[in-house]
Amino acid sequence: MTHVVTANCDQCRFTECVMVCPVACFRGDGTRLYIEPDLCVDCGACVPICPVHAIVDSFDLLPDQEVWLETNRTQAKALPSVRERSTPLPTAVQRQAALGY
Amino acid sequence: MQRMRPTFVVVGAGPSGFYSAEALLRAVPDCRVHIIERTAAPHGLVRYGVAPDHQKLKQVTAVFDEIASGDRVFLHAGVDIGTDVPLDEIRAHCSAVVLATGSAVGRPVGVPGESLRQVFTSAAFVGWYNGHPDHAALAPDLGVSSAVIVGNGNVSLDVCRLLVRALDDLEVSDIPEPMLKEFRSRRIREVHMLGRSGPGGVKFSFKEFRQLADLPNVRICMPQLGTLGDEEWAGISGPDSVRVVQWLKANATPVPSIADDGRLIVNLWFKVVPAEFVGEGKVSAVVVRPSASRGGAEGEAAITIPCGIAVSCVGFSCRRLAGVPAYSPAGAIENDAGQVLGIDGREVPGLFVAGWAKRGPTGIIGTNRADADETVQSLLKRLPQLLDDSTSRSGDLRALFEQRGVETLTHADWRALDHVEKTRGEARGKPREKLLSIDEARAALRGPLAACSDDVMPATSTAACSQRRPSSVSEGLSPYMRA
Repeated sequence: MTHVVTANCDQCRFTECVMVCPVACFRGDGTRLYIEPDLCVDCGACVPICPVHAIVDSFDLLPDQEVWLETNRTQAKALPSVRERSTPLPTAVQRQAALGY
Repeated sequence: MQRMRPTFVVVGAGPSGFYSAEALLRAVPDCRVHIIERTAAPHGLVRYGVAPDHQKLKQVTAVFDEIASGDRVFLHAGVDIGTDVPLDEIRAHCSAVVLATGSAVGRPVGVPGESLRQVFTSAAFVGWYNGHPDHAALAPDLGVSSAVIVGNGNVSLDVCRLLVRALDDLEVSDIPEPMLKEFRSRRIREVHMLGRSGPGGVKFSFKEFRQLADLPNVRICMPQLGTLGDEEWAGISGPDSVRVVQWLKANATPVPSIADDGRLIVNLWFKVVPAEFVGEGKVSAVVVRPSASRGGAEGEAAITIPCGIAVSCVGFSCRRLAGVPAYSPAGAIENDAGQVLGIDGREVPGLFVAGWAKRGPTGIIGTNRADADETVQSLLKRLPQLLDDSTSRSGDLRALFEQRGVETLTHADWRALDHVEKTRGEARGKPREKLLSIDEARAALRGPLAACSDDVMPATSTAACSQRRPSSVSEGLSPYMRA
């Protein structure tokens, strides 16, 4: 069990999640974030705080989202930790509206 | 006279205390942070509140230990601010104090009969099965057939799950042995959870609910299934309660006439409040009446639910601390974004608050990281003034405690105690066997297990039992702090 960052983070990267993660399990590059599954303790603090509902408990993944499990794992292993809030991507507001949030 | 290095004191070694320390250490590179803890062990509600069968969540303590192992952090455990040393005296020794003292006092329901034996607040009952030194002597009797839980939040679900969960699962949790002994003599056949709202207004998360509902030995029942009207199902309070309602509509059954399949029964009651706990000396029943919010319930009769134990999970408030000027009606310390305020609404210089003591008992562990960050930002805004005002202070907490005759435990001591607890636990197939008092902790530090805890110490350290922190703790930051 873990939590995963799904497609909605693309073009957003709001980073609200990293401030509430008790175990610093977020990793990322300039475009989006991932969760390191071996660190995540499944507390769920990040789920309600994401403005675009990008984070999902692996138990609740829809079949077409399951691909994100492996993507999070491999990307998280390769990318640096993201611990502090940063400015969302310039496309974030537009993307948030397009997603209906 | 030499200027004092920026010196901060955090009171309380729970999540908010550690996240406050983390934020201070990052923001003020030359500062020192002293964390003061009342009990012998750090980790606060992760140790004493998070359910003993939620071991994965308890892994967050590794992060706290990383923060505490930095060479600018000093843990002083076993010091009760307000009793051993007054808060004002602590303030006079440093640049600023952050209170992260939590909400340790269980709120009563406020109805007759609460002083009967076998009626507990969640603070006491949860503290008991988690081995909190304040509650280890609670001695509840679980050899009863029926239990009532007041409240519809995650704490209620934790208490309920512990009361019904199979003993095999509890044996491998970190419920301390004396408490586990009581769980072994459980006779509970049914638990009644009393909720003030309708099914759509539950405060617990679906995930927690599913953990209870998925237990193979448990059946979820709703005695009012046929009588709740559509408007009583409504009032959905969030995405979680949508899923709870869906689950209940699909799966809950009314109370079966006989407990036919041997499963334990969890009865969920909605739109009810307790009116009275009744019994001769100890509780034998709870009288409940429809809550005020139940439409068209005028004159509806009270229901009497027999029970041998009752636990009210209806909230917490702060333990009062001399030197804190004002509390909100809900029981939190008056503050503005973490800056403590006096009764006149004016700022109390150098006094800050974080976590449950600041915002009340809401949110989960991670919520406190963002919350502590907000408090530290408030502190940083005032930092130049705070440093000017404190330049001639000593910053020497250890000397203060010595002068007051208070013996403290350090983080090195905690690492040794942690090793002792884990070793004792391993022998029983448990994650740890907790030490239940500061005296037990001190005795353990003198014992053989503490002396051989090199494997949990930083590689070059040999001073596991030393009262001083090991000098070999690396100058470099730990992986968590560096990450």
